[in-house]
Order: sequence, then structure tokens, then C-alpha cells
Amino acid sequence: MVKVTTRLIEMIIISLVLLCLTVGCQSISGYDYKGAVLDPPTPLDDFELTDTKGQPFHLSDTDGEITLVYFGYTFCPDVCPLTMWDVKTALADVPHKDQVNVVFISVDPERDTPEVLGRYISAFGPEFIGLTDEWEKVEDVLQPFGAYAAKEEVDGSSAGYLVSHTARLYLVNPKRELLLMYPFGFEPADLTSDLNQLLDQETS
Amino acid sequence: MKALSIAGGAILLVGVLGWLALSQFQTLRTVTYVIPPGAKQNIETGRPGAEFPDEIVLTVGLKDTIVIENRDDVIHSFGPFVVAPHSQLRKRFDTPVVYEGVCTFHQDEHMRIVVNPAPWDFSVN
Repeated sequence: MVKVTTRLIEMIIISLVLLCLTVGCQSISGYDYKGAVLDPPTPLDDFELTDTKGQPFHLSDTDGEITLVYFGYTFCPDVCPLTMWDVKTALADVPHKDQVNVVFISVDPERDTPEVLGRYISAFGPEFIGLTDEWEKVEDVLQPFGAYAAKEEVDGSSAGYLVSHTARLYLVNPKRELLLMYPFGFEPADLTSDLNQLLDQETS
Repeated sequence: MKALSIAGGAILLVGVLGWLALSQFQTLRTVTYVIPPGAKQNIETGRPGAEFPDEIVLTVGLKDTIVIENRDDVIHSFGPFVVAPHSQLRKRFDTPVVYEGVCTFHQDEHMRIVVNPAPWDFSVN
């Protein structure tokens, strides 16, 4: 009788340990993205814009890698430089950041010539790519991202005019699908976590 | 043998109950809204686009995950987020925040998300 009771207790302890392991494995395997997740990810058509060297750039040039896409402009007083700085901060803790592209698409092609944009974007890092082109071409690229931009005349501003624009950061996966997005003011650590998770998935 | 059968049954029962508890907990933390087919057309013709409150209030740790299911044929904006046609967006909020912005399926084109801190978070004033 004592032997059976002891055996039963051992089985219960083993079952509880197995249950804890099962629950733990479920938690680990179900990574919760910090960014807003699109399910299913949205396939993106290829597009062509001009880079800061005056050369054509295609989104398909980044197929097979993760690409962060942002719409902004160099005369933006706060939102754009802050967001680019947050991206730079996030990438500092991504060991494989060479597999991540950051594409900054200007919504102010009138002032953001390739030269102007090149000087601006180079301050953030070599993985940052600046794109600028005729407004009609940029407008076509905005649409599938659900983004917008519009010129706003501002009286008395030394900048002449401002451009109101969506301030989301978009994450395109290696299959050229829109997977995640981050609102302005996101925590760099959240982007770091998601990037590392995706990169680990690609290498495993 | 009887003891082993009892132990096996206990393992199965605890496992099933634990699984149900965990899955229900995540469901309870989630708020889901649906953008119906034709929402864009409704907005353009002056009708309500979707049954959505103007302000959504969430609480970290309790009701902190939002799912927006877009059944319309066009992309929709919801403040800082967009939802592609026939897909859904899911976002869990881990920190208190307030978002206001454009909403393409609200008649007044405006929305607000308020995420309150967890009740046990005394670090936030």
C-alpha cells in the first residue's frame, strides 16, 4: 500500500513537471510581436524610385531581407528625425542588422533632391536608403501602404511650407509582404525584439 | 496498475484544464472590431461605416489587445494603423498610451484609443 502511494505521488509530480514544460514551451513558441501585426501579411507590388545617387531603386532589390519603410522629408522638424533616430537605436541591438534595410521615401521631392536627401540620411547609418522622385510616382507608392502626404502652407515659417504625412514605420518581410507597423513614438526595444525574432526565424 | 491509470487520467485532466485556461485568458484580453463590407461606400454616401465607438479604452494586462478585422475591399486607416482589405490587424499594448487620429470608417473620420495602466502599476500617476 505504501509502495503504491509513493509510486502515485511520483507520477503526479512527473505529470506536473511535464505540464509546466508544456505550458512553458507554448509560451516560448508563441512569440507576441510588439508591433501591430497584419494577418495575413499583405503582399506588396514592386515599385521604382530614385536613390540618393540618382540610380533607380526597386523594392524587389531588398527581396530576401527585412525592409523598414518610412515616408518623411528632410525639412520635417521633429517626427521624422526622431523616428529615424529610434530606428537607429533599435538597430544597434540587432546583431544581424546587415540583413535589415531602412528605406526613407521623401514626400517632399520639391526640396529633397537626391543630394539633399543623401546628406540627411547618411547621418543615420549605411543601412539607411533615401528615395526621392516625382510626386506622382511617390503618390503611387503611398497608396498600398495606406499612407498619405499633403503640403501645408505655413505663414511666417522659414521652411516655407510643411508636409503633413503619416508617421508609421512599416516592416516588410523577406517575402515582400507588409507584416508589421509601428506608430510614431514606438519603443526602440520593441522594434529590436521583433527584428531579432524575425531574423532568428530566417536563420533557423 | 490502477494507480497508474489514475495518474494518467490526472495528467490528462490537468493538461486540458490548463490549456483551456490559458487560451480563454488570451481571448478575454482581446477586443475585436469588424469593418463590414461596403464601409467605404457607406461613409461616402453619408451612412455609418462601421459599428465602432469613437473612443476605445483598454487596460494593460486586462483588456489590452485589439483586433480589427477588415471585411471591406479597400484599405482602412485607424489612427496610427492601417488594415489591408480582407485581413486583420492585431496589436497588444504593453504600456499606457493615447492615440488620436484619422479613421476612415468613422463618419467624422476621427478615432481615439486610450490605454490605461495596469491596476497594479503604481509607478504611473
